[in-house]
Amino acid sequence: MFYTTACYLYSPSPEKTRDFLLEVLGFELVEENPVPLLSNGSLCLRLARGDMPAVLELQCSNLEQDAGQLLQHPNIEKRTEIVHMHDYLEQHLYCSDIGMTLILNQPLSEDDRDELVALPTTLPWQEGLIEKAQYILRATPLAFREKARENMVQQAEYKAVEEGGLEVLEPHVMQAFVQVTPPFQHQTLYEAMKAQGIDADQYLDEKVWSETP
Amino acid sequence: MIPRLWHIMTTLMLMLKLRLSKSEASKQKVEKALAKKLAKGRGLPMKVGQIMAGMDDNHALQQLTQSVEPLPLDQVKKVLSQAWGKSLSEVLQGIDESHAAASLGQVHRAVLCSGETVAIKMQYPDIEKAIQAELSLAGMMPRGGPVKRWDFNLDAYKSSLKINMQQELNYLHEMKAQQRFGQQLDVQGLSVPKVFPQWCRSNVLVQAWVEGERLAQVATSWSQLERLSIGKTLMQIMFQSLFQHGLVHGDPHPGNYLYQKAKQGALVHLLDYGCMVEVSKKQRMALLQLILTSRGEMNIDPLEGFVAVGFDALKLQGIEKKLPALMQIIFRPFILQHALKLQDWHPAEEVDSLLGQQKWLFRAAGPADLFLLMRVFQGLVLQLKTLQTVLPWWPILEQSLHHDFLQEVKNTQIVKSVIIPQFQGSASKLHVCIEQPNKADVHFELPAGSALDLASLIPSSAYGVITQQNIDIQAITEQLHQKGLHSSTLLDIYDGDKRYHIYLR
Repeated sequence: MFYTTACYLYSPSPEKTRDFLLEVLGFELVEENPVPLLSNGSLCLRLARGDMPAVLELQCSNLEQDAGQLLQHPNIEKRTEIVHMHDYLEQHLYCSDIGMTLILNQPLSEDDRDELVALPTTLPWQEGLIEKAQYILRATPLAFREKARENMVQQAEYKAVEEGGLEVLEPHVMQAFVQVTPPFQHQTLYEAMKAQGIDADQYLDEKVWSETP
Repeated sequence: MIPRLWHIMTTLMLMLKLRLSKSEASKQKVEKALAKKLAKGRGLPMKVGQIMAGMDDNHALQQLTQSVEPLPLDQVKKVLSQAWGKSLSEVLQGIDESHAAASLGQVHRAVLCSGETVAIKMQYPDIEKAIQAELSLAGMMPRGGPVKRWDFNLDAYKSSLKINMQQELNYLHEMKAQQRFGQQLDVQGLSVPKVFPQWCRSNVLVQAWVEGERLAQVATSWSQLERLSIGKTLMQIMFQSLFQHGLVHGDPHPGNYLYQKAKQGALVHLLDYGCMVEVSKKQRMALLQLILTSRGEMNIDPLEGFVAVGFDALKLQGIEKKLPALMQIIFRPFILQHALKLQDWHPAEEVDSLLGQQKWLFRAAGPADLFLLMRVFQGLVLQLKTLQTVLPWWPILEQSLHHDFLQEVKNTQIVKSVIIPQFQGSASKLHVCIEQPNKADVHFELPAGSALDLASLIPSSAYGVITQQNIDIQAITEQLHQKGLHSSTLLDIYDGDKRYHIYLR
């Protein structure tokens, strides 16, 4: 059993590269000798002198903002504009004083991609219902959406079988949505249902939140 | 008798070879040879093949369930005429060549004088004698390995096999079971073919002719809704017959099911009621209570529940603490509040990881007829997997039962306090260890009381060295009876560099 622990990064000026990694990219110095070892918690780099062009890939949560901050550094320049790939954004920057290329990328969420993610169904659903459910799911914050999607489908299909059927109908799905959504988000859910032309009053009582101070 | 004995012996050898086959190519080769041999044998060997086909998704063996060389029609006509005590023309307008030949008999399509199209199942002449002889060979069933180590009640298994085979040989018994099953079950989509009692004899069964497609065709060419409908019907048949009525169709091999598209969903024609499993009310209520306990809807003691199902308390005692976790594995499809993808459910591996070698203790503790029920259950799982249907089990179980029955189960005290025989002494576990250089050690634990039957626990490979060293096992056992079960070494011997170490702790 073994683990890969670090890779070597060659640069004509390891000292400058070290400073850049520590001051700009948030690395920490783990050890100085015999070859400097830097880590940011997920990537370990040893810095050595050499002429090979160094390339680092950086994942951003907001590429435009992150690139803007990096470009304020006097020796960093833009090599490409932001390019929109299928499921991520990418931009290349160059640090002229240390000869290093930075590839910045930002993964795109299903909302960024304007994509309706398939539901993990195992039963047939009433025509048009899957699409409505996909749109209603967009009201769920991204961080919780995948789990909400799975739970809602399981609950809706369970209800359909519980009622003796094998096809999922609108009430099964809407009741499942209510069940898997925390009460403080019921108002948002109510509005998302209405936006899909569903009589949300059948499943949620508007008075509950409208009367809450 | 000698050729049949030879046939059985060579068949057993092939089965062993199949188990030991490592590559897929050699496995397939052995499977084909085995299927051929089993088909040639009719009777018990073919029955074994059908059992294997029912439990495994095995193409060669599944072909066996649908094809055997039939007897010529002339011979069949003689047997039928003799059975009815009439000339054939007095009963039938016509009869076709054999439609299907199986382990004990073959099936012909015919038209009665009254105009109904029927299926006539005729038993092979002399098959009863052959089966009786084969059953007497059941004494040759292996007694080594886990059978011996975990004290399987082999006699109960043999007796269960014998009773089932004898029932299968009597088509009047089958006719009654078929009638009873059809009358009792109320499952949408189930079709139990009508029997014609006036033409049924102990070796002839006459029932309405039904047509339909096989599971493999359904799985590949029917719509999702139709497959789901079939899956639900199969589950309801199993749940209602097991839990509500205690009379289960015990032969789940694919040849016994025909599927037909109907206006409302689909029809399952269930055939062959020769092998039925009867489950007492106490057993099925206890089984339901164990499931309800696993779901958190009841709270019975797991050990007492299993004992009420028919398990041996003393053997279960060794794994008592693991029973709740075991129930979460084996009853999982009933526990989850959503559908379980059966492809993701691997109970055998999970039980293995939970119990290790003690899984044999659990199996040995179970009643003999549980084997047949397990086979039915595995058959259902295999069918649902083939149909690619994912359905939640609990609501379908609830719909399969009368509401009053589930209430009765919840309100009835079935389980009783189990009194486990207590042995004098401080030891709680018996350890059996076999150590050998360059080989993995064998080490298993048993309840301390097992030491009182020490002779049955000693591996057969150790007999030689025990004799050589004049070790008196009988005397060791007598001492345990007299002085009680305390921490001590009962046996610590070497056969070359192989060590057998049996001790109490």
